[in-house]
Amino acid sequence: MVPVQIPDVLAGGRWWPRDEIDATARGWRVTIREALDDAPRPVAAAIPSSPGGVALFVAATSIPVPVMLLPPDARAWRRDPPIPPGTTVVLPPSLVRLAPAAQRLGLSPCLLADRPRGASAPPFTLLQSPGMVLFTSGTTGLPRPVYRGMAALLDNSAARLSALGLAAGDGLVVGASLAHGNGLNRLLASMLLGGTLGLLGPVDHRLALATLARPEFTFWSATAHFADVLGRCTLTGPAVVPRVCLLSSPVSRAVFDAFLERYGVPLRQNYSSSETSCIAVDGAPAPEVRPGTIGRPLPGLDLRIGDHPDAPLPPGTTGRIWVRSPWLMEGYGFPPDLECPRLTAGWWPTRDLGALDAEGRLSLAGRIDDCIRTREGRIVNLFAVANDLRAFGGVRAVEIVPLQGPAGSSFGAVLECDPLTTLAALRRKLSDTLPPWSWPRKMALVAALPRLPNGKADRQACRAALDEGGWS
Amino acid sequence: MVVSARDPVLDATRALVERIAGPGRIPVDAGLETRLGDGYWLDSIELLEVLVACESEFGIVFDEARDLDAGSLETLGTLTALIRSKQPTVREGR
Repeated sequence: MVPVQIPDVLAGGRWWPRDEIDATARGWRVTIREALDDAPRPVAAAIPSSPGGVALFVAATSIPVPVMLLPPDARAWRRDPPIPPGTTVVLPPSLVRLAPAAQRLGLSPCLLADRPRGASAPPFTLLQSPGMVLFTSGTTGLPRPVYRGMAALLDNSAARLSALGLAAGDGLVVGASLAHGNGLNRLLASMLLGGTLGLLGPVDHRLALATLARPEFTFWSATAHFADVLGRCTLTGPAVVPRVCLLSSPVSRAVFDAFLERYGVPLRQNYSSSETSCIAVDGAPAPEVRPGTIGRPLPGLDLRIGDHPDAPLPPGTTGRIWVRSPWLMEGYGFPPDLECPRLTAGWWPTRDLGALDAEGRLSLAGRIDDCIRTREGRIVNLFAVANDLRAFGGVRAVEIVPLQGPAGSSFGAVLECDPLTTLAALRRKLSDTLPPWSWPRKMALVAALPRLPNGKADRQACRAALDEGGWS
Repeated sequence: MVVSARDPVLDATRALVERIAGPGRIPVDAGLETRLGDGYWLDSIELLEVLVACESEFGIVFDEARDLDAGSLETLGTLTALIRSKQPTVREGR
């Protein structure tokens, strides 16, 4: 196992030294172990993007049981397939309000105290968990749990840091949720680097600018939209950002150029998935970073393009991306009940389309399934959203329309409804059912869904209905 | 909250919020108490767009970690009050 260390954490303009995180984690570890009663069953942890979330991650993963990461919004907890009933779900003090939701799902809440008992407990070894459960967007329309071995996660993270030229002591700033694949990878990266971890809030661009300008930070794991905003908002001081700024979703040439012109630092791309972790990253020298490419596959990982990995397509041709990786998931499901990855001749079929250029640089060209990666870098399954919308009373048919902006993707929904259904009522139902990043950004209610002669929804007409607003 | 119902700052803020929300998300009874989250249905990305647009529109700069708490971003009225508090000449003139 590579050496790891708890990082110092900066959040909301305040520092949490690693000793403080460690003391909190020690106390919470005692509580979690008592709740598990030393049984080797998986534990779930709701992880906020805060110093407390870091302490909870440290505590939960120090116990030798699989850990399931849940976002701090119960609407985003997966119900299909359900988290195994009776699973202990650990809630930090800021999230104890989720206990009723956990109980409704048949889970067993373990509430952590603000001032934990046992903070003077003896030191423990970090990252003793054998692996983590993440949730993917799913290949058949429904989200799936993915079990990843801890050693593979760490080795992959170390390979990405190396490709980016980062070294021990470097500081890392994260603007994404810590409870998803990218957030988990950044948490592990900060522990591998052992330096500092900066956590950005979702709407405070002023604090983000102040944080990114600090000399402790070398690496910003950015969201496309935040990078776009920082490239055009009013500046009140020098334009300074870390030397490595990394995105997990593509941006337009205009966003790339504006950021580069203002800060002198290119926005690099990264490509990863829940099943594989990082596949490719742009670790080229800054002058060679281009907006359209993801960079080269990580050393130690093989990548091919085509319908079948045994018949790779020539450079410049778009096709399915296949990966042969030492860091692949253990399987789908909740341990110990795992469905092994279905490989083709040793290759993992991703759900993404892409092309390699003559120099081996990868570019992405969309997805094979019904998912999009949003402007916040989250994968949203449009099939699942459409299913939820169809279940609302008064809704007869739904067509989801992907929308493209300079900082990435979002989507709209055209709904065929009875005349008594209102947009406001549907939005209220949506907010009860789905987390905000899964809400359509545009909705139009129509008396009859525009259809083509073959009966399928007319996407072009649906897009026009969204532009016109439909009923409201 | 001290925000006049006939207030140019309110009108401009409202126009800005409604431009970013889009025509399909403007409540028929929109006003000071309309919530930015589950009234105009702004997500965090759109809220950030509103803040950047406010800085540009009103020539102000929000203070890091102080102005942008959940309370000041709750409703159209609280956002308008925040903007007014950042405009000393407007506040003194009333």
